[in-house]
Amino acid sequence: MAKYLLQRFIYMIITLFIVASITFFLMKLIPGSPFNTFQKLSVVQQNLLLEKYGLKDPLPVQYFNYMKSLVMGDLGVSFQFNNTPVTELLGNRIGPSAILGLQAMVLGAIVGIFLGTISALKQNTWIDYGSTFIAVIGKSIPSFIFAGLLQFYIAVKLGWFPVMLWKGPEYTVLPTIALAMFPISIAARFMRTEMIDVLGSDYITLAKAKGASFWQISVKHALRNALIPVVTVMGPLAVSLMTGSLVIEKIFGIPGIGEQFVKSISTNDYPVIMGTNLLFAALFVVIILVVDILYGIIDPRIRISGGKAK
Amino acid sequence: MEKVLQVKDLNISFHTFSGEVKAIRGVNFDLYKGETLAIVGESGSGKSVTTKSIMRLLPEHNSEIKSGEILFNGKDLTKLKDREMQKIRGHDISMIFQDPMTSLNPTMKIGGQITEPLIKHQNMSRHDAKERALDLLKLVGIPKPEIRINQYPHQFSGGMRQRVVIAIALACNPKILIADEPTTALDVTIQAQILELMKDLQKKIDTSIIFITHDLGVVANVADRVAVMYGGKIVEIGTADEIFYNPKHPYTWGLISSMPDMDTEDEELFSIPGTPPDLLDPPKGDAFAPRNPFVMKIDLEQEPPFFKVSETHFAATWLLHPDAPPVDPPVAVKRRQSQFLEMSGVNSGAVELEKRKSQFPGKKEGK
Amino acid sequence: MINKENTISKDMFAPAHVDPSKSEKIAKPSLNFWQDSWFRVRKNKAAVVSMVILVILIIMAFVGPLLSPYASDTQNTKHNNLPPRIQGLEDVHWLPFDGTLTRRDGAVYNAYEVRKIDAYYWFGTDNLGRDLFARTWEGTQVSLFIAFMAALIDMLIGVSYGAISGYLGGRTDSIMQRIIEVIVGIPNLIVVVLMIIVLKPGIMPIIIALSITGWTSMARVVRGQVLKFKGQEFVLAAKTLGASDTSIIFKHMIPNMFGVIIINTMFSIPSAIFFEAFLSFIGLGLQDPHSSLGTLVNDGFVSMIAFPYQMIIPSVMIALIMVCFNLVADGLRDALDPKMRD
Repeated sequence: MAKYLLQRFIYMIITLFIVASITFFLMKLIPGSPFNTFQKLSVVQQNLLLEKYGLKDPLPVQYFNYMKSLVMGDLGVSFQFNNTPVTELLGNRIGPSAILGLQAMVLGAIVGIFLGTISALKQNTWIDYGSTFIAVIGKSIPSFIFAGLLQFYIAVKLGWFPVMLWKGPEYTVLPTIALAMFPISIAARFMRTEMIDVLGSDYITLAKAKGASFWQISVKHALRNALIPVVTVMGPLAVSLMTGSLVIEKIFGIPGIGEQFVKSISTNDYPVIMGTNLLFAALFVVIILVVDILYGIIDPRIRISGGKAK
Repeated sequence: MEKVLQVKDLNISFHTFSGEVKAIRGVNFDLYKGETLAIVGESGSGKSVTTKSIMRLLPEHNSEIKSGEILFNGKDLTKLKDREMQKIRGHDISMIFQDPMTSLNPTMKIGGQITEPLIKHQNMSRHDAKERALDLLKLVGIPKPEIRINQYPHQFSGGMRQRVVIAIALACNPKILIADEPTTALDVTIQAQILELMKDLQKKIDTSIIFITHDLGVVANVADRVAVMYGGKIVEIGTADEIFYNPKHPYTWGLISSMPDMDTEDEELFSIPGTPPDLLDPPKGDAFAPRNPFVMKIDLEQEPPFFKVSETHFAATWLLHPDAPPVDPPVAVKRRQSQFLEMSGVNSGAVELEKRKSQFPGKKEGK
Repeated sequence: MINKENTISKDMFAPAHVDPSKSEKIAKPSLNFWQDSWFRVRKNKAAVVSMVILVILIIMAFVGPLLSPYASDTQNTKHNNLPPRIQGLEDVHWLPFDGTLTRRDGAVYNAYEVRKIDAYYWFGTDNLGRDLFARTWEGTQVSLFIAFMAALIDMLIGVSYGAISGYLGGRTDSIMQRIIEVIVGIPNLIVVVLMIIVLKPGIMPIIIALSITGWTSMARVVRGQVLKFKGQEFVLAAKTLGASDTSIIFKHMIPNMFGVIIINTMFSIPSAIFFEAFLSFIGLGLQDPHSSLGTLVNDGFVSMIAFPYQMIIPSVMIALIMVCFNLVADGLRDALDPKMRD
């Protein structure tokens, strides 16, 4: 297990290093200067700024400096927000994003697992068709379209929830639902397949042959076995939430990292783009690793043998 | 002898995309107290379906018991409510499955799986149930049960897992034990061990066993009586000796000649030509007719009734009809028949046979 | 039972002849892989309906702009922000095609009558007075084009990479697999966003960006299949008969994986449509005058409260396309995936 973790950790570092390098060089490839958007700057002033940020150094020197400060945990300063350090900028905004992401993840997992379980238990009934329908819809329709429709019909037309902004728990409801639709549907479909698979397995027949009741079979025997593989989709789902959060935060005007990212794309604020990218990449690899470890912990077959999680 | 289970005119169909598959077409048999009844037949002959229907374990959404009764303790199992059936399963009737690698819950400790029926059916406390589970593990020959009880199935070998499954099945001292090909998935050496164990335990707890298999060697080893199934019907039923040494149905002849024995020398092993009937559209007349080398016109017209060979031996083939021409069974069968006649000391041509029950464990182990 | 005997005439016991070929007769007509698959897909009603809808949508994507009397890029500011109105449906008030709008205070008015315009814009107009019917279908066309191209490129790269990696095996395989692992380790979002920033938004850059990240799953699936086939008899037979490596891969292996390749491609199309719309939404999509469904939705958001139809119509269109593609892909997977065979 320790060897496996070490190997995974090394992979993680390599991935992050590659992401950082790609981000750096791609940013350098972009024509034009980050200060073009400040129309009032003269050429001389622009040159001064470039000098100040070290943008006139040779590329390898810039790369080396960038990597060095990265290791120190320094992501540089924003060009657009009065030289605020990127880490501070992201730090200020991580709260709403984290709340939104966690809420959507929890809602998605609970509702999805519930829907998947009942539709497997009541296979080929209207309950099953209903939840399959929800799953297809949730999987197919992009979250920003949900967001738009929810915002228009629930907030604007019915006025049940605030249309946008981030001022209290009631403001989180619509964005959470919009963001959770995808995890709900993926978890539901996966859970349904796993559950049907488990229900058809020999050990469930044996449990029946022992005289176990419907609920004992579904909860004690089937649910646990079906839940274990569902953990594996949680990683990719968490990642999809990151993608989703960009648009959801933009639509609902939530002061999170995603909204910041979209803004900095439109203003060519490279340090912020690079910083956010690295943050996303780091979150991504950490989540995938955590999910793998979690899988190993809850599946006794892997826990004991200490083998690979995949 | 006391009948513990009676299956009467059982008809079961599966509803599939292609239509109704008549998997069981009028099966009758009785199970006596303390005996081992083997049901043999090739895949798809309906042997597993029959036993699953006794346990009511057929998939609910596409299977249907069209008619018939399964009488146990004066109750018709086909008509019981789910809750009542749950009380019988694992308590009065329990089952061992074919593949021990998949029949244990991978995420539940062995102990939990054995104690489950004890707690459910005998209202034992957790502690008592655990004690009993330890005894059971010892009984089925698992070393160091105190350690094993807290382990997961993947830490057990196939043979050990089957022992655990047997322990679970025997937990509540059931009246009937259904073993659905319990040794098929095991190595040959382990097979013998498991068979020995089952014979041993049967003596100890005096249970009746229905033993499903397609392996005649196993049958010879364990069975008191044998029922041969073909195309969703029992085609021949009798004591093990009668079936092995005096088979009457051409299908049984085929089965027996395809089994190697000590006397098989250079002869090529026999195989039954053709394929099992399509139960979506069962053929008119005798289902075995198309594969029967001795087929007669009547076979294609009418289903044969059961002809009585002895008090315990019945076969459904027109060849036993007085008008049927005499036929020449395969060499292996003739050899066996002559042995049978020597054994029973009756002259050739006699139909009335002394009713005999083989001693259990069977005499024929050396065979 | 016994008394039946009397009724049977003796000649019934004469030996009969059974044609052995009859008993071997196979009741079902034999179907090849594609007939069998089609038979299975056909049973899935949702997939069939979706397929029909998709065909209609694809035809409309080309024909639609021609049906409208207005061109997609003609600006007519006098006619801006008109709601949808369709001849014949305008009197059916529960349909959204009656030319009415709702004011902030909830009052409903007919925009065409109030502004004294005698015209029919089937899907309404945008803030520059461009016909949304023509624009929506053109947008559909662009979105579908991007998705199909991206899926095609994914397929080409994925199949070749996977086949080479699996077939060569050994060191090459493990190096190629490490590369995939690293690429999969980077979130798609980052790569796509960076690529678009570098390449500048446009149809080709979007296709390139989507292809760079999209091929890995295809490569993995194909490699798995190649590894599976490599040890099978038909491949060994071809090898002993002296078939070259390329002919083994292309003639013997790939035809056997059409199923999984098609399924994978069908799933990558909706994901490409999603990413294209997503990019438009965060400001990295196509620039005017080009429009895709994503940019239309994005534009519609700006005036969502006053003119909701501008957002809803393209949203519904994306939703419809995505749902249909997913249902067809699901149907195909159920039909083609041998693991699902009953």
